[in-house]
Amino acid sequence: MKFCTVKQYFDDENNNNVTNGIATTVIPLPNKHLKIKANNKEMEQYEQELLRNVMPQELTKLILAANYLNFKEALDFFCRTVANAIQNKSVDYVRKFFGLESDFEPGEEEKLCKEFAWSFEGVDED
Amino acid sequence: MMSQSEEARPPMILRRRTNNHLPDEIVLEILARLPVKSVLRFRGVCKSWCSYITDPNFISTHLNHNHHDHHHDYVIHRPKSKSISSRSNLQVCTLALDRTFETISEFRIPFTFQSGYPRLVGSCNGILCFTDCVTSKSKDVYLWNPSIRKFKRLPDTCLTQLRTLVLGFGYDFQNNDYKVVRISQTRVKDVLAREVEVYSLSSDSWKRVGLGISWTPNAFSFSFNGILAFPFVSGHLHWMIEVMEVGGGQEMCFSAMILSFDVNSEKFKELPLPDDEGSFIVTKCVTSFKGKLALIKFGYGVQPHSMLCSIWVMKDYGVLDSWNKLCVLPVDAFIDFTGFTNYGILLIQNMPRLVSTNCELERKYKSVLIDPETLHENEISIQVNYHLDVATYMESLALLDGANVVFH
Repeated sequence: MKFCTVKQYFDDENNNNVTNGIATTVIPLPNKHLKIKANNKEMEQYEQELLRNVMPQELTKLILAANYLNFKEALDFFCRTVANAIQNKSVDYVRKFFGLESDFEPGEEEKLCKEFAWSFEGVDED
Repeated sequence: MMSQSEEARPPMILRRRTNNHLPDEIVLEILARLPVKSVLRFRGVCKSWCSYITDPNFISTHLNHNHHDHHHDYVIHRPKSKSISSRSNLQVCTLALDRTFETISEFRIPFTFQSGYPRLVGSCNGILCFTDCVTSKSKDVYLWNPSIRKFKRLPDTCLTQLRTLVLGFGYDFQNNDYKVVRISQTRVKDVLAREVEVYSLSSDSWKRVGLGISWTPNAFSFSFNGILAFPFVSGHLHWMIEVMEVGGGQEMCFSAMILSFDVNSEKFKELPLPDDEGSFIVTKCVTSFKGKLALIKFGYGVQPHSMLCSIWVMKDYGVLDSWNKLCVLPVDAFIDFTGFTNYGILLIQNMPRLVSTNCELERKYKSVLIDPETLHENEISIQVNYHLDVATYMESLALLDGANVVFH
């Protein structure tokens, strides 16, 4: 069933530009998963390697692809990767990463910051 | 259709309905995998993220992700009695790794009790429930999530006369709700009256419930559970009780039983104990071990001056025949049993021994973790010379959506 969806995905013209990403990253995943499922350390190293070759912004494309293909393991992996990449980042960085803007009323955001001021400690510089 | 120029530009502005904009359910998948501190900070990203994060469904999804990640199995421990040095230690909870008791960090309890001796009622999904010590007249109960630094004082009782006997704290997973049960016992002349009330976090109120068991109040009494908090297992809270019934020949028959409370249906039931095997049992305590209901019996063995501790586990919850004796450990006469952790490791703390080093006598305290299944013993590094409250713990966002919650 997976092959049919993959073919359909490639045929869909809107997705032509992400083909490269899929081919090199998403497709090999199931085999890799099966081969090294038992070995967590190897999987971590594989993940690190993957991260080095993929820009954080590219990850959003891969996530959409994995979601479309209903490929749960890849989706979990990519979501975890994004989570690890952003967990120590500032609110501004995260906004830029996801292409979002603040829509708070003036003063609302400050109130939120004050409530959990300690959660802003130790955040990476942008 | 993406144009060439849009492809080249990094994502700097809000784009609606483009190929690269992540749908809400995926954003939630990412947020659910973040540590608590990050999730709290990202409430400030935008309004929709703020409301996703405080949604009770998200909070429980986030908890499930954390729970399955075994890197985050912790215990919280806290001294129950004064150490020689300072009284203020009683307000400090230490977060440690489950298997080794290696300290990660410390939290100071943000509320105080009249007696100065907080008592841990239970720990559930990252929320700790505290009340005042047994002998105190104070009826205050607090719920506290140290990882989000928020706590809440429960509203006053709904019972007309309250004299707390036992408390329990558990999670109703069917309704995604946290509940506290309080059983009160008052004596008017010769008549014992027992009343029960249940607090629900989602309604932020107490309500009276019936005890609904067959014995008259005078016929049973709650047993002291040693120093252990009452266990929450398989959606039920448990207390040890002694039942006194008049036998056929008018003699008094004593039997022990476990009283269980279903946190979802709010109904009480009796659970039988395994056979006593005739050995002389000094005390029995009910606790939990690797998510199962467990029983610890301390008694004397055949040999004089030898105390034995037998550990039983109820393999299938509620099934009498499934009580399974895991092991029998010989314990020193001066052993101090402290508690179980999630990975089923029994913490026993020996009373101070006099040790001769360099011609000087010293008091040495030794704390060990024993796995009742393998009997493998591990001495742990923490040096403690007082009783500990030990509870399993995990980080969570629970209480973030609660009413009247105060941050510290």
